[in-house]
Amino acid sequence: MKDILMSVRDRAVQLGADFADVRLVSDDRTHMSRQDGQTDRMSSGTSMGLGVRILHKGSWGFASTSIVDKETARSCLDDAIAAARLAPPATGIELATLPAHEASAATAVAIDPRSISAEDKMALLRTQEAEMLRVAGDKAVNTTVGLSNTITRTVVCNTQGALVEQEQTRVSFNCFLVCADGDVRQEGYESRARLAGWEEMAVITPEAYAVKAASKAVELLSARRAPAGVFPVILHPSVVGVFIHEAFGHNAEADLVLAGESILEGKMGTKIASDLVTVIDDGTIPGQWGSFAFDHEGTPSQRRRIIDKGTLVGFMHSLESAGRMDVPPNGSARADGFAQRPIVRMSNTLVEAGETPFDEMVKGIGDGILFQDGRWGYVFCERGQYTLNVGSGRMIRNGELCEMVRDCCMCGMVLETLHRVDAVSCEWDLPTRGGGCGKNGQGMPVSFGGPYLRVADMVVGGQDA
Amino acid sequence: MERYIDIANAACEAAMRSGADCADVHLQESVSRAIGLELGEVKNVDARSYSGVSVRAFSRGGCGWASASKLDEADARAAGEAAATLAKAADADPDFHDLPVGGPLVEIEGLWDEAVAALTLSDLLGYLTPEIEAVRAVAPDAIIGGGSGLWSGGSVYVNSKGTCVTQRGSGVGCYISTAVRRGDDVGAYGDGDHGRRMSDFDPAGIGKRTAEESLRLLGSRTAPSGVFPVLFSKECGRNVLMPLIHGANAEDVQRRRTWLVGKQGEQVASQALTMVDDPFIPGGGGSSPADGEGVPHKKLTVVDRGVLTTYLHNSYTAGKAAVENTAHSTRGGISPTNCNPATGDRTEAELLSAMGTGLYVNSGGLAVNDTSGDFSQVVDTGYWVENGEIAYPVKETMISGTYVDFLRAIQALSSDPKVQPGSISPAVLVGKIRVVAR
Repeated sequence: MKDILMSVRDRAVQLGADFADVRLVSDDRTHMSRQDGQTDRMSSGTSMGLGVRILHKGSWGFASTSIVDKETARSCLDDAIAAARLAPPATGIELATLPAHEASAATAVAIDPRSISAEDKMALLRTQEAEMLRVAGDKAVNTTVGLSNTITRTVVCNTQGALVEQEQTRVSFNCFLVCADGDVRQEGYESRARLAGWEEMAVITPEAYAVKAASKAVELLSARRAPAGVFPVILHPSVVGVFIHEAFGHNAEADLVLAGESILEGKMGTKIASDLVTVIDDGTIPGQWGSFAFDHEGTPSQRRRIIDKGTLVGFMHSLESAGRMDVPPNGSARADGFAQRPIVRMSNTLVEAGETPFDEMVKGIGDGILFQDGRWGYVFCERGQYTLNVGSGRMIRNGELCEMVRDCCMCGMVLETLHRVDAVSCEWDLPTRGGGCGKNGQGMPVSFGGPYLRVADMVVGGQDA
Repeated sequence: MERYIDIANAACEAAMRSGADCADVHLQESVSRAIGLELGEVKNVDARSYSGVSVRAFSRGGCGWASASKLDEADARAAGEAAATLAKAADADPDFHDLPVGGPLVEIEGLWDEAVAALTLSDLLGYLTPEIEAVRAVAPDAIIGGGSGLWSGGSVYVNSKGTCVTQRGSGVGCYISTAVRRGDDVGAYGDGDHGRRMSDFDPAGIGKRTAEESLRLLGSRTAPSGVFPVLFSKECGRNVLMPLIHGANAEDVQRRRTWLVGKQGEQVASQALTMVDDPFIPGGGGSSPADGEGVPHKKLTVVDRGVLTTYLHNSYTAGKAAVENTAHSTRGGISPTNCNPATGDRTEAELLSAMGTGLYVNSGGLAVNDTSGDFSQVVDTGYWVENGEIAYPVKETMISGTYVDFLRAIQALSSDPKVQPGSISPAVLVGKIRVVAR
């Protein structure tokens, strides 16, 4: 297949493209799940396709096809060239350049997930399912457990001389249950998602997943609804992860900064957060869901410092954004399959640990709320208004953790919240649950985490007065 | 299309030969074109093609799935064999009866338009250019994003009961986003237009509207906290009602994981709310003659003056509950088609005037926890209203409560909905909602 990619690249040069890259992506997926005591979904699938990207005077043309042969690839190139020539802007752009390099990388896999029999995988699911039912007892009304593995091969070939092959192996497990007590229904969820082989599924114990999910759902049945109002809060590492990815991280994607859509435009080198806050995006963490050896432009993955002790020091970059901002590329251009263009994405985004023990944070807050189980969030980058959804929390009174509260959302203005961080814990966690990020219609595996953060106040949209 | 029917049938036959009791196949091919803007100039132009075949096989009720992206008989057969192998490895499911047999289908106008499929990239650019100019006429310093695009494609569904449904579809759309900055103060808004046929597509005016709305959203402040009436504009009125329809999914009910368990036939909303699912709206975004299992669609009143009249079923849930299939299968799930509220007798402006003091929510949706039925939602864009008039835009403002209370507090739906292909969205006035702000 590489010869097809190289012939398209060479023809793009002959046709005068300022830059071109050709990307071949194929994957093999299997999934199995159980629901309510029986197999639910057993699936397998394959896909393969080609994406061709052309830069012409500052305008990108992109074309893709799921037919991989020489003739269709050339036709794809013609489409991409025609697209790029549609209406180039008045000024062209200079991409950042990397020295020509040929490289290959593969996920370190001790046990190929395809070598594990369906029976063994099903046995793991049965054990987890049984444990959820044992813990939840007659409160359980719906249980789901699932296992997936995907092997994705990507080859990137570009006119700067990059020829990079990468094979990524992903394994994931999730368990979910709903418990009911009369008209009250609550849910528990746990997952593990790793860029690794089956060895990362072999470590799954019932205590860490099924028991935890079921205990949470049962406990939530008797939890009160969260209060509504403005409160001092402590955010659990899983909530900090969602916050730093959704509320802040998207603003630090350089393509959005260049498009004028980020609240961080014009703020490089300025104080945008409390001195206590340092933020990193690191695509090199072994096994982590958002890691990769090379991005989808062939740039090696890196650890990127975004905020250093409250000061904005960096963005995440593609070849284009790095060129336009005159900084080195840092390996952040990723694409969701062959049919999408690479765009600037986060990888594993985290807040660095601080010095305050969690217990002291709780004591020091007086009255407030600890929010746990970060679930989702979104931000309007232009304005900086964000929302966060959490699965549960605990009221704090007189510096003591008290009763549990149910799920709710919070909102705020991201830079104001970052300035209001008044304590960062020494305890730190980068959850291995895995995450998905959506941007411009493209999904992407990511992860996020950090220490506990205490914020002087946040708007809490609970359901109780 | 004949070639695709042959490929689909080959996949189905392969599954049956491999020991499946029954099987179905969905195959699709589509092309799309899209233009993306950055700072009001063309930034990205994409031309994509996509294809895929998916086979579902059953053995003793146990189900296996397999898919491939290449549309040829060899890969389709391999997928059929793989699906059957997986189905045989699955547990038996006594609740599965059989795949449905199709029936006569209604022809619906406007689902595919040759004129849309024939649009060129220059045509797509032509829709954007006047809207960009319109934004600049209103707000010369506006940051302009958005784009335009089209898709066109076809699909084939076959099953081992002899059902065969072929469909073609198309769509064209245009979206403009604008942001205006005054120091740290930012007003931002976006709006678009789309249609499956050219006669339903008219983007003229979206640039001017988004620019004007962005300017109007400058100077946002926090709203008072308390319990107030809330008027959801016709931009988002339908959005806040759809969690009720999505919650009426019969599989979620049978699995007892939704707050709507046991609510069929009950008053779940105020009498002001009636919602009808109509799959036959010409050019409708959710229109199609058959559901994902080839079962002919039907028009259905889902909520009648506040009473939930039915859950939405596919063949599996209908068989399990021994009720009539409402034909809402997405082949693996359940979804409404074009489900819309009946409109009321006062305009949005009249409802705003009647509201007195409260919150006007201009855009967004409602994040309802499908399990518990609680909601907690930030106001994406909105205004505080005093004495029936817009006072100022709000920020850091949330609404929260239980969805049942929300639905029962609906006072009125407006008479002047925003109509898009398949979607009718009136403004919705809700009497009392908790508003939380800084």
